Amino acid sequence: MKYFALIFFCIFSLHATEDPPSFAVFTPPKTWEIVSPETLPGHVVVSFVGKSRKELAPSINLAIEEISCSSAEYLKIVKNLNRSHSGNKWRDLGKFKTEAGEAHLSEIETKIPSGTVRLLQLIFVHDNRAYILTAGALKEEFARHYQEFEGALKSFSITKDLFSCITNNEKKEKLLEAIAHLKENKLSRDAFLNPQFQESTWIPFQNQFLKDSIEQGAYFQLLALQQIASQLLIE
Amino acid sequence: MKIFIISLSALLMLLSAPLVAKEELSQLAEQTDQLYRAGCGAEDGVYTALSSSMVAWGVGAVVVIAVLVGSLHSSTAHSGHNH
Repeated sequence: MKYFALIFFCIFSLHATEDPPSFAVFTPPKTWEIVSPETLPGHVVVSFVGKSRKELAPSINLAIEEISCSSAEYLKIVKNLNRSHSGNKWRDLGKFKTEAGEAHLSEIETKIPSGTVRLLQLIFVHDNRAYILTAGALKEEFARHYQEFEGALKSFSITKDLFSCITNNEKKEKLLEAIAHLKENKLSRDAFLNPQFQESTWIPFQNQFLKDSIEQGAYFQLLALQQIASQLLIE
Repeated sequence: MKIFIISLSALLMLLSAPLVAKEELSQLAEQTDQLYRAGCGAEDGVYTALSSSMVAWGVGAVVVIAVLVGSLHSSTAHSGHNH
């Protein structure tokens, strides 16, 4: 099921996105599941959900918005938007250190029929883009998930070279070699999606890649597979 | 000669003014639109955090219901067999 979802993401990305100038990466909690991209609104690029015995599962998502204002102006707009919703409680938690640098953290509490939800929203502005990581859970369960949220938010980074995230040099070299070998196949979109190519070449590569890059987390794996798949295609 | 140059300049200005205004207006409209839409990413994030969580619970609920239905079915079949 996981492999199918990854192939689906790769195919989806070939249709929906252009190569971004830089990659925003974060490491979601290990056992959390990716949400189907079809259900995500415009700015949200990825979302993960955890497991819960309550009515609402914990989740974390990354949204990216092109902006033409400064970081301070954007934060002010978001603050006003959140305060304008009746029933919402918004609290500024100040600066928060991430791998990408200093970001801004805020807390939102909102009521839904099954209870009160507490959300943490991290905003990082870079190169006319606002990167927004939103993590949330039921208020009564929030403390139980706090460490997972904190770890995911801290791991947020922006990089031009996606594979620089792999710190183990041996694994990195092995992977780059496998990618170079794979790149010898220049394919049309149809040839890439051909079940024979998928079964004989792409899926074995993907399985090995998922095994070797497990430490970098599911979102890194997703972005890397998207990038490799797009590099295989004839433009 | 002076009159000719002034007239020509005035004419050029008159002709180019609507074009410049049009360009500036569309730029202003674009900027206003961007400002109006700014913050959508943050709102989408909040919406997704709530909806994804509920969808996950919905999937969990479907699984629980399926298991319940399965167990009810097997227990009914079992008691039916006893009768």
